[in-house]
Amino acid sequence: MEQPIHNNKSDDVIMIPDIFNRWLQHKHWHLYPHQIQMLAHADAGKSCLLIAPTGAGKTLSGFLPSLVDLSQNASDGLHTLYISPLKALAVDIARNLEVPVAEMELPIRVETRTGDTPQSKKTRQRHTPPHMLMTTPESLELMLSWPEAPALFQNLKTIIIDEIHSLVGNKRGDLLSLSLAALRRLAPCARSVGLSATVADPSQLTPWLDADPDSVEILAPKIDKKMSVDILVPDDVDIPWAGHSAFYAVEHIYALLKQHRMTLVFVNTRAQAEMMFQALWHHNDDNLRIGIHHGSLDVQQRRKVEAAMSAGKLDAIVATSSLDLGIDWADIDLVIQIGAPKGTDRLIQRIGRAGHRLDAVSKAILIPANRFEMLEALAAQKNVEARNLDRLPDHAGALDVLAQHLTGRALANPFHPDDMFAQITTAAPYHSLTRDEFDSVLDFVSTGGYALEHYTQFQKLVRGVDGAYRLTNKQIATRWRMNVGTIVESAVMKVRLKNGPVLGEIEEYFVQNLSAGDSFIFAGRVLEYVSTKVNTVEARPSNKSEPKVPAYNGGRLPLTVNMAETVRELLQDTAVHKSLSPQLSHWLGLQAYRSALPNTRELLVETFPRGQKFYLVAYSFAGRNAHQTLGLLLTKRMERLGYEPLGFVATDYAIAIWSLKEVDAPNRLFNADLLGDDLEEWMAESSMLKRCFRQVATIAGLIDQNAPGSEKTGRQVTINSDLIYDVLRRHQPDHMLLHATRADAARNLTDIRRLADLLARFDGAIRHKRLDYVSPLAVPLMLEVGRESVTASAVETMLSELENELLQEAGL
Amino acid sequence: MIPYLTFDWQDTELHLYADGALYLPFYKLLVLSDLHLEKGAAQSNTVPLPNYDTPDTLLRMEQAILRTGAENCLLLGDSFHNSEVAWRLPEAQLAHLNGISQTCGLHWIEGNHDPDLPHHVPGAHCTELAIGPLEFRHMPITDHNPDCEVIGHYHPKARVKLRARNLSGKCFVANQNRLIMPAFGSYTGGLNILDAALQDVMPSAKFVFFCHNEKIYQFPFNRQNFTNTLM
Repeated sequence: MEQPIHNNKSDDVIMIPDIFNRWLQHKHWHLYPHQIQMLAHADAGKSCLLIAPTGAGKTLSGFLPSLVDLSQNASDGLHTLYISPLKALAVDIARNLEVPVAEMELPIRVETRTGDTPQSKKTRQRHTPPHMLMTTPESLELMLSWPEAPALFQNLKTIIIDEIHSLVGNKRGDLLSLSLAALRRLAPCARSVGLSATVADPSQLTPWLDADPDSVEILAPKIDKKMSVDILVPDDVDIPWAGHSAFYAVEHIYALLKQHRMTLVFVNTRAQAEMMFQALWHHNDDNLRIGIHHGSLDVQQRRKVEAAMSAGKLDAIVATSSLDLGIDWADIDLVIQIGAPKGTDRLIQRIGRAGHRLDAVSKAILIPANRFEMLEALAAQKNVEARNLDRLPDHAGALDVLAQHLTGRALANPFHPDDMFAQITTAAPYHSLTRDEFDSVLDFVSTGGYALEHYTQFQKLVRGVDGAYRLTNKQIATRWRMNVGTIVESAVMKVRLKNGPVLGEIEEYFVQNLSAGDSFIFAGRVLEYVSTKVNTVEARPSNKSEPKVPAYNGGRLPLTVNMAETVRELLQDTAVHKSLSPQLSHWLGLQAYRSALPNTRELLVETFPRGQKFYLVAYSFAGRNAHQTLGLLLTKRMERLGYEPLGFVATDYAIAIWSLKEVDAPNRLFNADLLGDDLEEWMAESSMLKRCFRQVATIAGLIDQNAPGSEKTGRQVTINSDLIYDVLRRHQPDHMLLHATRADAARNLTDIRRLADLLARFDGAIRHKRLDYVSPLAVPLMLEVGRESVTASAVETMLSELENELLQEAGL
Repeated sequence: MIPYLTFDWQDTELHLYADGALYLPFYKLLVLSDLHLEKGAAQSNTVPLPNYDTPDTLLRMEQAILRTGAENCLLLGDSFHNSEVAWRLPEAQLAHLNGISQTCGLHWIEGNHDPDLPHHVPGAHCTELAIGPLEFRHMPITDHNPDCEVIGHYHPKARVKLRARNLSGKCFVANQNRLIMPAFGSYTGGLNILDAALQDVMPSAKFVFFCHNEKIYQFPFNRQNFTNTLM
C-alpha cells in the first residue's frame, strides 16, 4: 500500500479522523483527490466504480472508507467483504491491510477465506466473522449456502470487487454476478465498490454494482501512466517468416535482461514459456537468476517464484497470463512481450507491471516472432499510445452456471420460482434471461428436464404444496459443495519427480504420446518420462537434447477486433511502409507490386497454383477461432461445388485452403449464407462440441468433476460425457444442456458473431487476385501448412492408408 | 448403412460390423455384447442422466436385426447394468423388447452384472451356448484353454496412432482361440487393448478390428501402432 507523495490542497483533508491524518503525515503520504471522493461517496452510501491504472492506490481507495467507518463506529459482525478473482491477491490484500490497522492500532479484524483456509478457521468465521473478509467468487457462493448466511451478511456495509473487468464475459463472472444478486437480498444496506483497470466503456461495469446502474458514481481520475513501448528490430538477423518462438532474438533478449534490474518476459502460451526459458538458460553465461511462472505449474512452485520476485532475488521471470493480474510485489523495470500481444488491454495491463509506481514510466519492449506479428506489434504500439481499447465482451449469462447456482439456492433455503426469477434477472449478465430459459434450467435442476418420463426417485428438487422448491436429500448438498465453481479442468495428469515433489500438471493427451525414455521440458527442466501411475506421470531429470514440448490446450487468444482493424489500416497506409525496417517495407512493397495489399474496404482473396494443388488465401483478419470456423465452412461448400478441397490452415490474420481443382470465382464462396445448415451440421458432429458439453455438464452438475473413487483404475466408474452427448443429441436436441453447449461453442471456439460481421462487412466487396505464384504475403501461411487441419474424409483416407500399409507389412 | 468386414475364423464366416455387432450368416445369428441397459438410471446421482440410453440401445439392436435379417439374437451378458434395474425396466422399453422378440428369437447369456434376469424379459436365459465350433460366454473360461470362444465383458477399445493425432474407438480383438467383442450399449465406455487386464486374457492378440465414425478397419495387432489411453 505505497502512497506516492502528492501535492494536494488543504481543503481536501476534511472527513478523515485525526488518527488517519497523523498516520498519513507520519508516512509522508497524501491522499489523491479520487481517494477523497471515494470517502465522500461512501458517506453518502453510494456505489462507486473506480477506474485507474496500477499504482494509483486503488486498493487503499476501496478500503479507506471502511477503515474510517470502522475506526469510528466499532461494531461486531462483518462490515466489508472483498472479492478478488485471484486467491493470492485476496491473501496479499489482507496482509497489506494489516499494516495500517496495526500501526494505527485500529480495533479491526481482517481475515481471508479461500479454498486454502483451514476448516477450523472456516467454521469459526461462520459464527464470529471478522470485520473485513477477503474472499474469492467460489468461496462467496459457498458462504451464501450456509444456514448462517442471513445473519452473517445482514449488517454488511460494503462489497468491494477487485479487478472487476476480468470477470465480465466469462463463467466465473456469471457465477459471481448471481452470488451478488443473492447477497444483495441478504444485505440490503450494502453498497458496492468496483475496482477496475482502464476499460473502453465503463457502462459495461456499472450494472454489476447496483440494480440501478445510473446511480453508480464513476471515478476515472485522469492519471495517465506513462508508457514507453518499443519494438525490437534487430538489423543483423532476418525476421522469421513463420513460427511463434522468437528464438532469432534470444541473444538480444538476454542482453536486455543484463541491462535491467528485473525483467518480466511475457509469452503467450505455456509451451512458449518452457521453450523460451530453456533458450535463455542456454545463453546464461552470467548466471542471471531466471525463473518461470505459468498456470500448469504446481501452486507451491509458483508461490516460490513469486516470493523470490518480491524479495528481489530474481533477475528475470518468463511468464504467461498467470502473472497478468494482481499483485504488485516486485520492482520490475522492464517488461518484454514476446510474440504478438493480440489485444491492447492485455498489453497495457502487462506493461503496467513495470515501474508500478504511478510516477515511474512503464517501459516495455515488444519482440514479434514473425513478420505478421511485426505488423501487429506496430498496431499495438499505436493503440497503446492512443489508448484505443477493446470493448469487454457482451455476453449473456451461461445457463449451466445458473443451474449450479439454483442448486445452491435450494440448498440454503426453499425458494419460490417467481421470486427467484426476479432475483436472478438483477444479475448483470442475466438481465435479458427469459422466463422460458429460467424454467428450462429449473426443470433440469429438479428432474433432469427430459421429455421421456423419468423415475421420480431421481428428483433432485421437489416442489412443495407451498409452491417452493426444496432439496430432496443431503447427499446432493455434499456433492454441490465439492463441485462449486466454473473452472473445469481438462484431462490433466500430475507430473511428479521420481521420489520427489509434484511439479505441476500436464495434458493427458501429451502423455499418451510419450514412451519410456522420451524426454520433455516441464517446469523449466528437461525431464525423462519414467512411467504412468494412475493419474500421475513419474519423471526424472534428463540431460538429453531435443526434448519434446508439452502441448497445452487453450491459452492462445485470438487477435482482437480493434487490433485487427489497426493492422489493416497500417497495411493500406503506404506512408507507414517507408518508416518500417528495410526487410518489412521490401516485403510489403513486393506484395503491392505482385498482388495487392489488404485494406479496410475490401477482402483480398488470392488464388494460385502450387505443386499439383490450387491454393486460395483470404486475408480476413478475424482471429484464429473465426478463421478455423471459416475454413471448415468454406471446405464444406467447396466440396459441394466440386473443387475437391484437401485441407486448410488458419492463422489470426488469414486463411489458406488447398484443393485439387481451381476456385475460379471466390466471390461465390464468401456469402453470409455460409453460416447456414453446414454450420449446424458441422458443430453437431465436431469433437469441439463434445469438449464444450463436458464442461457444461460438469458446471451444471450432471457429472461430477471429482467424484470420490473416480480415479481411473481400469474400469470406468462414471459414464463418459461424450456418450451422454451423443445420446442426448439423438433423442432431445433441444435440451437445455445442448442449448448451453452450442452457446458456449458459438461464443468461444467458433467466434460466430465475428465471422458473421466479417461476411456482412465484405459482402460484394471481394477483391480477387488470380496469381501464377504464391504472393509475398502468403508465404508465412504456406509455411504453416504442415500443421494443417484435414477434412473428415482425409482422416478416413489416412486410416485406410495405415490399414493397407500394416496389412502389407504383415504380409496379410 | 453400417459397413462390415468379413473374417474367417475357425472355418466360420463372421461379419464384424462397425457398430460392434457380430453376425454369423450361416446360422442367421446376430451377437451383441454388453448392452448395459438402464446404466443411465443406475448411475444417476446428482441429477438424473438423460434416460435415453435404453431406448437408444434397443433401437440400434432392432436396426442390426433388420439389417442382417437375423433369425436369432444372442446377448452376450451384462445386457442390463444390474439385476435391480432389469426388474424396473420401464413399460415402453419392455414392450419394445417384446416386439423385437416377435421377429427374432432372443437368447440372454448371463453376465457378472446381470446374473439373474427377471423372467418377464422375453427370450431364453442361459449361462453359455455352443454354436457350431464356437462357444459363447460372457467371461473367458479359465480352467482350460478353449478351442474357440467368443466373449464380452472387457469392452475393448483401441487408440490408433495416426500421423499428427490419435483416434480412439471400440474394437473387436482376436487371436486363434478367442474373440472379444466390443460393448454395444449406448452408455458403455471401453478398456484399452493395451491394458494389463486385456493383455492377460489376450496374450497374443493377432487382429484388431477398429470401429471409428461408422467405419471398421482391420489392423494386425502391433504394439507400435496403438497407444494406451487412460480412459
